[in-house]
Amino acid sequence: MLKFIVKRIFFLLLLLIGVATFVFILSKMVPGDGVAAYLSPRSLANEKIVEAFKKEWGLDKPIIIQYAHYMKNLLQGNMGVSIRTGNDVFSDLLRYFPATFELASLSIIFATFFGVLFGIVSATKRNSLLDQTLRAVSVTGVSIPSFWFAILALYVFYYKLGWVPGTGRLSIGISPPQHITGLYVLDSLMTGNTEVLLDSIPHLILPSIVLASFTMGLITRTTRANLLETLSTDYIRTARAKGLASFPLMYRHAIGNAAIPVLTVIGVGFGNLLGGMVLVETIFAWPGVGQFAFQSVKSLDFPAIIGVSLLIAFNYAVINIVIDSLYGVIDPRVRHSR
Amino acid sequence: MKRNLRMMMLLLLVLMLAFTGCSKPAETPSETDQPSETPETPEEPEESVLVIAVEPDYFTFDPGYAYELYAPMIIGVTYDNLYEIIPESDYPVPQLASGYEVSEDGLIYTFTINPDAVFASGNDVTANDVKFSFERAMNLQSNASALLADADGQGVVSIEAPDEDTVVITLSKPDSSFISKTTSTSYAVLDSAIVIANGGVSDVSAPSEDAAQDYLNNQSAGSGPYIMESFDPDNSLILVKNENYWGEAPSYDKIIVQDMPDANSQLISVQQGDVDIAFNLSADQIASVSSDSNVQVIPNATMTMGFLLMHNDPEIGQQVSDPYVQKAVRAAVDYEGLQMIIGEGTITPASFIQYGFLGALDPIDVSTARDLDKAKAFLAESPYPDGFEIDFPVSNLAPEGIPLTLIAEKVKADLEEIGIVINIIPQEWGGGYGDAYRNGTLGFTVMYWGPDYFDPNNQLAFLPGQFVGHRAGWTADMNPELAAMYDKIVQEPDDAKRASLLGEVQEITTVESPFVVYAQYPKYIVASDKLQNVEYSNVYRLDLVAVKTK
Repeated sequence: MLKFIVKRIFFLLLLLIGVATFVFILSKMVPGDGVAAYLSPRSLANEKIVEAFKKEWGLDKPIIIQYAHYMKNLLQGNMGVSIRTGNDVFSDLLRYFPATFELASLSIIFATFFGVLFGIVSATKRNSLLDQTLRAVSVTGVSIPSFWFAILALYVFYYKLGWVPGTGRLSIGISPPQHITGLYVLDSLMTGNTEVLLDSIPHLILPSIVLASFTMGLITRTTRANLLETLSTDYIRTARAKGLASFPLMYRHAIGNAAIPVLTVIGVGFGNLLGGMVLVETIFAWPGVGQFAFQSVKSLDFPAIIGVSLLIAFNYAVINIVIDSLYGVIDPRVRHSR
Repeated sequence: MKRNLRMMMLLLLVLMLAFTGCSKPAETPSETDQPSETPETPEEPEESVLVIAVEPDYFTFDPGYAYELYAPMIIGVTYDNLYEIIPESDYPVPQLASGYEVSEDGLIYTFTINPDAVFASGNDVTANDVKFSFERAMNLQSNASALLADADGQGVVSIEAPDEDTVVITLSKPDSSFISKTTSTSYAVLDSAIVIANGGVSDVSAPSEDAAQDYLNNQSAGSGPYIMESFDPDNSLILVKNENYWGEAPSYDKIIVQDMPDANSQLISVQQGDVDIAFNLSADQIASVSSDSNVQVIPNATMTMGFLLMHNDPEIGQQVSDPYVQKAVRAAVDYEGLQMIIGEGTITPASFIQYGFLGALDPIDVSTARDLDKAKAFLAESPYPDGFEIDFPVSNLAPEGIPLTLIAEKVKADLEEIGIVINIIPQEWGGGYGDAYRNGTLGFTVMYWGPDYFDPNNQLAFLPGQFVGHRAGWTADMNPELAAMYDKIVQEPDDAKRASLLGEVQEITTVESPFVVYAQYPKYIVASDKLQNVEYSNVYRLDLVAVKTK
């Protein structure tokens, strides 16, 4: 197992270097050097100012030198400075990522819990009215545009019904808790700040449900399909013939064997959520990675764009390692084949 | 193991149900209901809070660097300038300065500092602070530098502080808009002792040596009525009252500027009462709240101007470089239709001097401005009597919330009526369009312009040989007489004569220029009906000090 993890970490490093190189090349293929995004029309007419800007951000050097400089810094753990914010990109990511992580975590919990539950119920009650209803729910979850669902949910549950608070991580006027992890729920628990705790949790509910809807739909459908396939196998029929009751049959024999594809979908879904869902974060004014990425792309902030890409690649790679490891835990055949 | 898993899942479900079931919307500072458990605590005076929702575009509040649309709203109340623009006046009025004198040749301005002025830190505002602030802004080689340290040899030559209350600024050439330029938040006066202590540098080494931006992004160092308490990017910014403010105390104890990038979220937040002022609503959204008695829709005139650019160089502008085609386009545009798209309150200025500026001609009568017969006649005199097809790159920008692509669609429909077919090519501003615009390589496009400072001289950038003129390939030798008007106007100290010269410029450019000004945009602000004096400011976007509760 240790050998497996070490090998995966080595490939993770190679992946990050590859992603950095690829995004760097892509960013240089975009027409424009970003100067127009930062300087006013009057400044753009002033060559002295334009030159000073290019010099400050290294844009006056040949692309190969820019790349060498960037990779040298990256290998030393320095992701560069964001042109837009003027901060170290790593520190910016550290500031934005907890907001996304907190939201994504609750979303994946919602999605997994309800997705697996609905999938199991749907498979065991195949072709019943309940099955049809849950399938309709899962198709809706997959097909409904998340930005539209977000606007609708905010309008109904915040504006019309007043059941949930409005946008943002906290109500307007409430100060964030002392920064420990950046996760407001956890930080407020650790510091005993009940005001923030009780305010931050309701703020998480609506955006996390909106974000969960798509992944939940996928998980429901994957769980149902794989469970139905497993339930039709010979060993399940044999177990049934031996008189095993439905409940133990499901939990001891069927779910475990149907779990691997579901786990894969959960992993991919979590990776997606950690990448920051731009539109949902925008509608809920959620200061997460999605918003940071969007603003960075809008202003051609190359160091920040590469930083976000590395973060997303890192998230996927780590999730893949965890999921691959879990395959072995769930299925001994996978463990023994390594 | 499996039993534990089941127990954990059950616990998780219970917790989730508890959170969803028990949670209530958190109360905002503006709500007056108090929890019933707190009657015994002695009542403190209620803190007055103003909450504003904006689509954030700022990332720095260092006056030497900030250029974005909404940064002046914050800098305008945390710092003071020598002079300021107030809503009641179109001319600069003294702020930190008591007054000024100008030498006969118009080159030397001597300002006297108001002796009452103090910074939030308690330090006196002195002439040295003005010298430091101006020199830093000019030497940083940032957006602020372009205003006073012009590239063409115009601008400030020296700044002296002979004593604590006197600042002497020498210009290389007379500049009739110099006082207006000093109202720009780029030239806000910094508490030099604090800024220097935090890495501020004002000499020519500033671009590489100045390190005060980090500090000024999170704290203010000015003498305005508010101080910056905190700034959490893409989240919120909090201003609190400056207890040392030397002028009249502002109305609110605290101002919260809440980042809300989505206009729908802004709309329902202001309707719900969580937000007092929403800044970025579209015309459709404005229409939807007009019947809501809890909010007021405040229309404002702005100096934001939209225009079509037709490049004069045939290699770049192709067909639209022809003067007759330019005239045909000018006559074929449906200005009235464009006003309907942009919204009520839109006006169409005669030329590129916006209505409201000194010397501006009256807006055109849009009901008669479109003349398709005349347009066709102009086109018949051009080398393309049967029309032509041409590319029309459009950026993703949206002045005052109206996407330029929407304008482009309307222009396309208008021009097709005279046989000109335009192929709209959407482009990202930062992804190539901006550079092409800057370099003057766009043949036919639509763009907008907002003045950097409140003075019609700003608009002279559109003249032949000036930097916007250059972007349309309009060089000084194409119209030397008109090009010469630039120096005449900039150096004319008498406002009446300047207004007359500006009038002449407009008379010429209304008929002949590579620009077609199609509209001067309005700005709608939606505010709680409990507020008054919510007015758009062309310098600060919103004069936060003026806003009051009814």
